[in-house]
Amino acid sequence: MNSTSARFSAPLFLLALGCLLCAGCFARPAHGQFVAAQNTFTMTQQQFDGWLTGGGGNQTVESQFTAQLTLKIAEIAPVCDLTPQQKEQLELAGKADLGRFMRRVAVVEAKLVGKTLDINEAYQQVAPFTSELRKGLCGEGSLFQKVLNHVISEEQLEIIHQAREQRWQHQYRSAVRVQIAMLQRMLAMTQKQREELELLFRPPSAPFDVQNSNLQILVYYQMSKIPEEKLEPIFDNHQVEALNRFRSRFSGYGQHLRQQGIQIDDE
Amino acid sequence: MIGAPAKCLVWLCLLCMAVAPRYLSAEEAKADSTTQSDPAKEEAKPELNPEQEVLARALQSVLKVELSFLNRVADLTDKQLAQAIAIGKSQVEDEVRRFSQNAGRQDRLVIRMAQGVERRSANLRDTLESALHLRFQELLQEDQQRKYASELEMRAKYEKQAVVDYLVSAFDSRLHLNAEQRTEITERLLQVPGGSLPEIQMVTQYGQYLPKMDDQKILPSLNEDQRKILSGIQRVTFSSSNHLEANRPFIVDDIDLEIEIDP
Repeated sequence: MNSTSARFSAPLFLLALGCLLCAGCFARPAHGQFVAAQNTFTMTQQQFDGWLTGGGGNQTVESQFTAQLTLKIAEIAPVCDLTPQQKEQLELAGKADLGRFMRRVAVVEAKLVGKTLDINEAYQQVAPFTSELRKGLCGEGSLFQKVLNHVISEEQLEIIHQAREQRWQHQYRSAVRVQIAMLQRMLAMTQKQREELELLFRPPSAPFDVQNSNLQILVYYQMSKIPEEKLEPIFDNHQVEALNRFRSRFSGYGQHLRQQGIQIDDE
Repeated sequence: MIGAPAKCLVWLCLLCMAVAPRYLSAEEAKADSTTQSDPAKEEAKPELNPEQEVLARALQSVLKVELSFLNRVADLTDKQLAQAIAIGKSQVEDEVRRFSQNAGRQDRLVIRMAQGVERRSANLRDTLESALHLRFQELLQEDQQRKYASELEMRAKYEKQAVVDYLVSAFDSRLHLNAEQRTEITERLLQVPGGSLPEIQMVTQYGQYLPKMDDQKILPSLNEDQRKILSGIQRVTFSSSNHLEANRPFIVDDIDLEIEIDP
């Protein structure tokens, strides 16, 4: 190497090295990106909002809640023939419930957004709010419910409860049928066997808005608790054996369901 | 004299026809399956390679369930059962060979989210089942055929009803349908061909997400509020490409194929 090229190459090398170091220092991690090999990451606002809404696509908390409130009022209005004033009272009460929720969320948001955190600890702080939002902010104990109890009569409330009960029954029965249809691929059941198995499932008293994942777990758990003497008249020995192998996996799900607030009846 | 561009076009078309993968619908698979091998000509077929053997052994669980179903419904004689087992094993190998010709596309359960309505291609399990149903019918006496066909029909109907009910339930939980709306949407969805509905093993994925589907099956029953809410909900399609059953350890074990089933 001649002296001219040596004069240029060393500074160029140092310049390139310097650029690389600077790029590393000023690099902004994408949202939720791990910045270390350990289980830590930097929480961005976008990540927080996504966790809070349960990954609900383009829905914000406000839009998700507005949808819930609209549905609730739309469900009640035809039954109760609400006046515009009553509708407005309910909307205001609903918005007040949202306000209280968001104030609580803001406390957690301030602790988490922009901070480098352990991902599991961060998730555990957000998850209860996600669950609360999904269940709905206008249920028992809410301001919306208190105003509603003043606005509508006992008879109208009963009609609304019946409609919700029908929804729950439909959800439950559809979950049972899907499980039986999937079991068919293992047990080779006849139509008579499917129908008789369906009759062994009874809907427990449960929250009206049961999350689908818990609904499936509920059905599995109930299946695990069916006494064998009730299966024997329906299935042959080989089928009972196969069913027992399958359902034995779910007998421990009771505690999880109780923790989710789902009432189950153990026989 | 044909010009150079035209010649190129012709060669290009021939090349595309030769290499384009062929996605079989269940009906096409059934039609294909009618040109079946004669068990007497088994010796003429090439042996399965090790990879095909693995696949064939995995499919034995599907065969066992179908044989169990056939026997339970049609009450087979010992001879019929032996024939059904032989036919079934032969059919499994045929399907494995056919599948291998399109090797690489599907080899394990894959769950993917897609942002579009799609008609799912028949998977290996579906094509094997359809082929078995056809071939088993040929073994049966008239009365047995009637019972078998009837039970197959009820089985397919039950599965479709279960899928539709679950989908309606998923929409119901987000849109708060009334009883009349549930009934209307259910009736419309039952008219949809089965291949355009989610598969039974995937339908329980729809809880937080709603399925992307022809909205003309749903929208006419909704009021303005519900339509507005629906437009804001993320819609996805879960699809699976599978021929391996996660529940193999739990299948009914009343048919001896003289082959060890993978745990």
